[in-house]
Amino acid sequence: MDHRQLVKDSLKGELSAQRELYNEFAATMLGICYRYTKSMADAEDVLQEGFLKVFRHLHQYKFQGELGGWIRQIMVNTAINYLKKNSRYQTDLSFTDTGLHPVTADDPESLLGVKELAELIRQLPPGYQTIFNLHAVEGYTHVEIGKILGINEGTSRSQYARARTLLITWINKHSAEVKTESYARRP
Amino acid sequence: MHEDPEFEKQIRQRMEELKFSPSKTVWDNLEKEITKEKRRRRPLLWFSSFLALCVAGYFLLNTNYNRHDGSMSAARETGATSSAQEKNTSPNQDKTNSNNSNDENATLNGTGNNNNNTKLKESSPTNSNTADQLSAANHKKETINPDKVNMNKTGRVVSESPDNLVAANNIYNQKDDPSKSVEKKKMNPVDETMKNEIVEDQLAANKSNQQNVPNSKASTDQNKNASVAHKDDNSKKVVSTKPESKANPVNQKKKNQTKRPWEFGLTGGAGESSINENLFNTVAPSRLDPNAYTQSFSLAAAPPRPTYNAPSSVKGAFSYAAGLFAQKSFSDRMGFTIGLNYHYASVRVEATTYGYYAAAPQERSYTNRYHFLELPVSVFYQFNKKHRFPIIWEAGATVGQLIGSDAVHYNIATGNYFKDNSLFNRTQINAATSVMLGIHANKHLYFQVGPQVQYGLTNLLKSDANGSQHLFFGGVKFVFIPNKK
Repeated sequence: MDHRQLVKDSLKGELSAQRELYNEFAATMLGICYRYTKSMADAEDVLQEGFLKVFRHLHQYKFQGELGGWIRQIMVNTAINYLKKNSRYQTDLSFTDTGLHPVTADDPESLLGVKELAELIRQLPPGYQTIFNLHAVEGYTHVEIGKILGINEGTSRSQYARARTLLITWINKHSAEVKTESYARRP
Repeated sequence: MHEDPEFEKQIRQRMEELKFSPSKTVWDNLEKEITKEKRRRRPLLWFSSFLALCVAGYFLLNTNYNRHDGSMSAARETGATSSAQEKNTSPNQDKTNSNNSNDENATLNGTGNNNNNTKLKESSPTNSNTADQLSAANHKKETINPDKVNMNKTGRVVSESPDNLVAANNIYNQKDDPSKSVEKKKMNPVDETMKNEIVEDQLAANKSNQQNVPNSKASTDQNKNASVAHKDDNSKKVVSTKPESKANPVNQKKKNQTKRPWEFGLTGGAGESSINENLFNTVAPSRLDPNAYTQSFSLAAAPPRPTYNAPSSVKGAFSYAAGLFAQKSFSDRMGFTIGLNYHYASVRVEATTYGYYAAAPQERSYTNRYHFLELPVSVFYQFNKKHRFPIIWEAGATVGQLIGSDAVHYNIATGNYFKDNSLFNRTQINAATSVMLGIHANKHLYFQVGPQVQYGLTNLLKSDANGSQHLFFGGVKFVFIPNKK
């Protein structure tokens, strides 16, 4: 069933269509939610809340652009709202305990699997994690991020830089460990 | 430090591939929420339909009342004009006029001389015609008053009680023949000079007949009003189905310690008001003296007066209230409210006018309107704590002040209706109760709706001579609390 028909049937209140819509996008959307949260339980909460919004506002989807993109947008917004509401994620966005590290010219991430990379992103402090996701993955500009999170554009920019540096450091470290292990295993 | 676009690009590509299979509980919870949403829309639909019906009904009622009032107003003007003219009309003119009109003013019954077809307000100089006048004279603002009795050249007494007669004329003079006005303009200069002397003589003569006169009763029609008051607390919507174990204990604690601030809102109601003899019985026409019509005839040896209004029936009519309130909760379930309301109440008076010359009695109706300013105070209790659709019971009292009314009272002696707002007990204390269903339409819109009744504990009239008359209101109450916590 194409998306148009799926949306129309869902709007009629057909539970089977709604379920089909959910099944088609749930896995991808849970991946997005997972990147923004610190646990799978939280990610599923966001997913559930996000899909509820999707079904509630499905009439607003005018078939302009991909349905997946529209749902993704809702998920990201829901995730950010969830982080704002949840005290576990309301830590100060600024931190000073992390120094800047040089970025290697290697392509370290190529040594990581998708889930491992996602885990590293999730290990970033909440503020960094959010900004990194919004900018590096979702493609928001720092101005937009500033508006979304209610912070200055400069703050977003600097924190993204720190998050990026931190992440690269961790990736390099992880890559080094992987290389060491692989050398060690050589006969 | 410059960003390396390649880094972001690779991250983005990798993250696009990130997928997880959600647990089954996610869809189960989602399905529950979706089903709830559907159910939640139903009361909204019903409420919308109900509101639409109320609005339509209101306009319908209003249209009917306006049409009716329009005819009444026209009658009042006509009646007032003719009554002013009549007192100066000569006997011959009276005769002519009365032959032309069958259901004239409903004032005094005085049946003058036999076949002399006198019009209303005319009575013969004999004692037989004055029974009603005398009884009315004993009444504060009713008919006969030395200053208000005129006599024409032929010795006929013409009584005129401003409030009384005007109201009477107003109500029942719809068929005045315009041509009469011209004839009546011929004034008799002797009238004025003879008036006072004759009035005194007339009153003296009437005294001897007073014992035969029925007690004058002014039956009034009134109504009542509504009050209103307040609302309650309710549950908040929780979309997340996260297990309790995930709840932050600090937040829980804060929640428990949450202060209960004052909440402010709007309230209103619409329904029907009536006048009750007690909580369960409305004022019956019989309460207004069922024998009045017979008595009035028996008092006069001569034929009956031209017109007479039989005691009316009082029927419920439209009522509404609107106001502001503030409420504060004592606990999660209980609280109290206080507010200020405007309350409009009305009742319909239906009378039968018997015209001596009319072929058949005529049914007339009039709407008594009452305007109150009320101060409602009440306590409320929520039956189902934290439920999405809380059910709230509210009970309290209102202190109301009658700020205006155009209600007419019935004079049983004369068979007339008249206005006299001084007869009202202006301060009214009412008991009110309601049961309401709370509905969270969305995050910022919370309202309650449900049936309400209100009963006037105080008598509407100052005097008990007319028995107990208590305002009763039954209808639907609405409460709206913006940004309810």
